[in-house]
Amino acid sequence: MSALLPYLVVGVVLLALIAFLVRRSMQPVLHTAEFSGMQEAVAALRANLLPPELVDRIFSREDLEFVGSHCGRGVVEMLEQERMAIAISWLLATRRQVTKLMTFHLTQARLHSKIRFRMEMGLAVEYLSLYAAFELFMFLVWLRGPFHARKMVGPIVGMAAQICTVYGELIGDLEFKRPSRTQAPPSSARIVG
Amino acid sequence: MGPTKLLEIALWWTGILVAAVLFVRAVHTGLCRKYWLFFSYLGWVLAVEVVRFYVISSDAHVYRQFYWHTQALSVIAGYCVILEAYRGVLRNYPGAQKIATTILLALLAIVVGKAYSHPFEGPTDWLLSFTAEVERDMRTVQGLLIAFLIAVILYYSIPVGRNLLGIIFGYTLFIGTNIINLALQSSLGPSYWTPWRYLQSASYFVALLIWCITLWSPQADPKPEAVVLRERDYGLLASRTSNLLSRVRNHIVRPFGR
Repeated sequence: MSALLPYLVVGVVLLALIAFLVRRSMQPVLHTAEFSGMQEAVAALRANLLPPELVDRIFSREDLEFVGSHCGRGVVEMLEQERMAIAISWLLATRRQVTKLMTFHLTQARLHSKIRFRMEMGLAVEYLSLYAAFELFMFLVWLRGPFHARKMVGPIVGMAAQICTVYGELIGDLEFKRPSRTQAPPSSARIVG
Repeated sequence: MGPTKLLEIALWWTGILVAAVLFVRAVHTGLCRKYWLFFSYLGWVLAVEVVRFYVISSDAHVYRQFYWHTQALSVIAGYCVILEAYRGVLRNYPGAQKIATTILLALLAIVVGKAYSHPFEGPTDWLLSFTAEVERDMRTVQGLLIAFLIAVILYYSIPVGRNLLGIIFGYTLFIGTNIINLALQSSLGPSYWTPWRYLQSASYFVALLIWCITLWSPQADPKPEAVVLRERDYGLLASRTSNLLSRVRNHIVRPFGR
């Protein structure tokens, strides 16, 4: 039976992958490689940034203690559930925008013949480990509750702000060329060639 | 002749008919020239199926040996489909092509190294001793190659046209079910012989139907994006994204270390 297992795993993974690919191909094509995609992602990420005071308030234990001292267990649970929903949806939105920026990079990288193998592999490892870290973080929020995640939220806000700054600067530094077809130029990019 | 035998023959002949129709249609639409590697494979399998039917009708004892000999060549011909898929998917994406080629060469070096440590006794002996176990292993290699290609497609968000997607979809479905089927056959032995035969035929028939639907008429392949970064700016983007992801990860992971 143990000799059979690797083959069954390969077969099942293959069928799952093709199902995923076919499902993806049925969705409308996103032209994420276009410059505006990157600008939108940065703008959306900026919009998702919550002011530190608001983050403090959402994850504040004082609220929990106040509600706990005046209301019953049911209300406390309701508060915890609501705050958890906010935390998870905010994390998901942040991850979605980071993914969008990474997609922008990948859709550009796939077109360049002078792609740097080692850099791309490093990037893939970084991206996949970041994705795993997001998953872990969400799991811990779900497991321990939002009020225990307060000190973990600060870094997320910090890193999102950092992404906005870096990509904001990058937008001004990049130059694009157009290989063949004519198309309306991206709003603020410099197009040469 | 029992109803199961009749069903088997009906499936066999319908498969031959569907493959022949697809082949003629592809010659007519020009897809045969565009995907010549895939249609070489299909033509080979079609010819083999017809000859196999003739052999089993004239001498059933010779059939088993004949089946495994031709099956070995069919499995090798299957690599044409994989080549076609790689060629078609990565043609317009030199960056993704470079990454995929580098990794594939590394994998090839590992496979060749492993083969040298367990050398074959010779091509003739290998062909004569071709069995379900050998087919299972060769199909698994094909499965891994396709899985890697699909991973590249998904990771780099490469758009795939309907025709090519059909080729990949049909063949992956066929290979995936075949690996599971052959593994069960090798493990369970003769008791699984009859279900194995039916599943083998059925999975190929389903693949044929998928190919027939998706390759019935030529579809334009999606073109790469019109706006592309300059080479030096790609380097800038890559290094900044890399630094950023690394800092972001450290930010997220740090609180857990406290």
